[in-house]
Amino acid sequence: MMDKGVACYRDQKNLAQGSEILMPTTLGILLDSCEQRKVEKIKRGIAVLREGLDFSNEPLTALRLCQIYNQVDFLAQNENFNGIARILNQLLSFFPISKKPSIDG
Amino acid sequence: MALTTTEIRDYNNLNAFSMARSTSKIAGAQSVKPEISDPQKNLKISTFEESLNFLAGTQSRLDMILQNITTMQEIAEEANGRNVPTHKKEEHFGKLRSLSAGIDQIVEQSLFKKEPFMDGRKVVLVDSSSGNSNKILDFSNLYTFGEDSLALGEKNASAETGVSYGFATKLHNQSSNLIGLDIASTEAGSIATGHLELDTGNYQIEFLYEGADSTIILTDLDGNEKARKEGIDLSGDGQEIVDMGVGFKIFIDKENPFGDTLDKYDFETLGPTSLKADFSYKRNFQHFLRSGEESITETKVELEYNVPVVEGGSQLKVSNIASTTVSSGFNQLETGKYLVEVEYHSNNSRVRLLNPDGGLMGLHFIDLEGTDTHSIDLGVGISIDIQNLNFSQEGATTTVRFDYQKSTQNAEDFNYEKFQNRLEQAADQVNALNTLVGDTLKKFQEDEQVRQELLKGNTSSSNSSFIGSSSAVSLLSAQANAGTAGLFSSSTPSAVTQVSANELFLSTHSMIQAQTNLKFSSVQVLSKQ
Repeated sequence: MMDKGVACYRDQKNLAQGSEILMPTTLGILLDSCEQRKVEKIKRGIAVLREGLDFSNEPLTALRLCQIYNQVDFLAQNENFNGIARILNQLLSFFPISKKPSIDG
Repeated sequence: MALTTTEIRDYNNLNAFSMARSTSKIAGAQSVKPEISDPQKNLKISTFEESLNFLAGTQSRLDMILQNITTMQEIAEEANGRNVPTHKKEEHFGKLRSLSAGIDQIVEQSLFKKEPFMDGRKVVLVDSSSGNSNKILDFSNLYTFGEDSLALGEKNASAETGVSYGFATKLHNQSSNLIGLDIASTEAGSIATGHLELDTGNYQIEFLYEGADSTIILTDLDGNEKARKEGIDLSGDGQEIVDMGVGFKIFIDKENPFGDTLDKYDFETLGPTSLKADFSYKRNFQHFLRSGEESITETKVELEYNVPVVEGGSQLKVSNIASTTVSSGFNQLETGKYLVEVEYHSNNSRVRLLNPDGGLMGLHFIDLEGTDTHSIDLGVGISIDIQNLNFSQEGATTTVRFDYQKSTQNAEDFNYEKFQNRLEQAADQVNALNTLVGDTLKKFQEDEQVRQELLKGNTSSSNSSFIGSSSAVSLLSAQANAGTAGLFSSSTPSAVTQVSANELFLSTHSMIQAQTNLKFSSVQVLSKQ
């Protein structure tokens, strides 16, 4: 079966390459990595999200997200996958489109 | 947008845009001021997150205030033009009243953790996520009234009164044979010495008719007597004004359909009867605009009669009565007729201020010994000069009666030019504060960005930057709630699942905006790993 995050990404990539798609896609990939207990991939994904922050548009939200990513990074280091999944799911809940990923690409 | 005639009248009603008041007016005692909280108390914000929220939220409030001031400047400029017709000036005045009261409302409702902060207090902020240092912001008083405020208005203690007739009252009045009596209106009145002001609430007024010796009784809804005036002449025709001495007065229209020969009701034969009315009393602070340094409540004092006391060639008389500013600790007299009695007791003479019904409004002692003119300020907006020409008869009393008119605000007479200057000063004050808040927020964010850059990839070394998973969500939910509940609303982790679709949209939108540097290629690489 295809990776859930990748499927989601493929489904959406033709629509746009903006953060409205890229962010939930990345969160989806992270969630999959969490299910697969891939610490290094989670850390790389978090690095991608952190580098993608733009402090000029919504500085307050950017700052909050940065701190949340730091926390996920910390939880990954401690292999607290339940904690990571809880945070990622809550972040994903802000993006209705990412809640319905197509499993089969 | 133009206002309708009804709206103009409503906007210019003195009780429009008033603030509720819970403290009592007390005759001759401490004056009553709007209940703004104690600005001496500092507001201390405990975390960096809250400090950022506070600054961002405050900026939006200051923008709203500034918007009101800008609109007021436009209106004042228009009103100050040449040949502006009266009805147009009234419209402008009503709008200015509305907008200035709006500023007070914004200030009053701007709370951080239920604490006001725009009333002239210092706010202590945490200036980094390490929580090690503080920054103090000195907020000016952004109310339109009071000391060191925007100085666009004044709030005077008064009351809104109303008369109605409920079913039971109507039934009672229908069973009464008394005709020709009606309450024309009621309005805020004085508090006589020894009386307490009515609490905000509903009451009942009863007129016990006994011709020229009638009684008016005010009771609460449980039937407890709150005030009583005896010896009121309700017979014949004309208008009777009765100050109940507990904060309001009644204007009674009298009409006798039977001419001069018969009274409107034969109480001697038929026994006393009564009429009732339901009455409501609401303590408030009326909202006034202030155009310049001059007091907006200038008064007119007119002597009605002055009876000097003469003893042979000597004389004691009130030589002058004038309006003055109200002294600190006193309430201004309400519009009405008053008496001043000067009772001579050489160096311990008494000056009594009485309302028309003889209720004592104030008592002062003065040295009137010797031939001279002595002045005394009664504190309530009146000063009198008493001339003694060799008078020395102990206990003799001279009396004056005067008509006191507390001016109401008038759109025609309002000095729009001076008001424009005040608006300019107010705009400068708010702009300066807005800049300070904006600069502080920017500096906080920049410092924090640098700090976070340093922490990237090395997060485990610094526990101070970590937040628990529940607080991570609460950060987001605070943002999610910002759209409707205000940035100052408290939030819980569970709130994130309870917010409405609209709030989610706002939050989602800001998250997308905060993540615009996300690269397609990076995500693509990640997905393939």
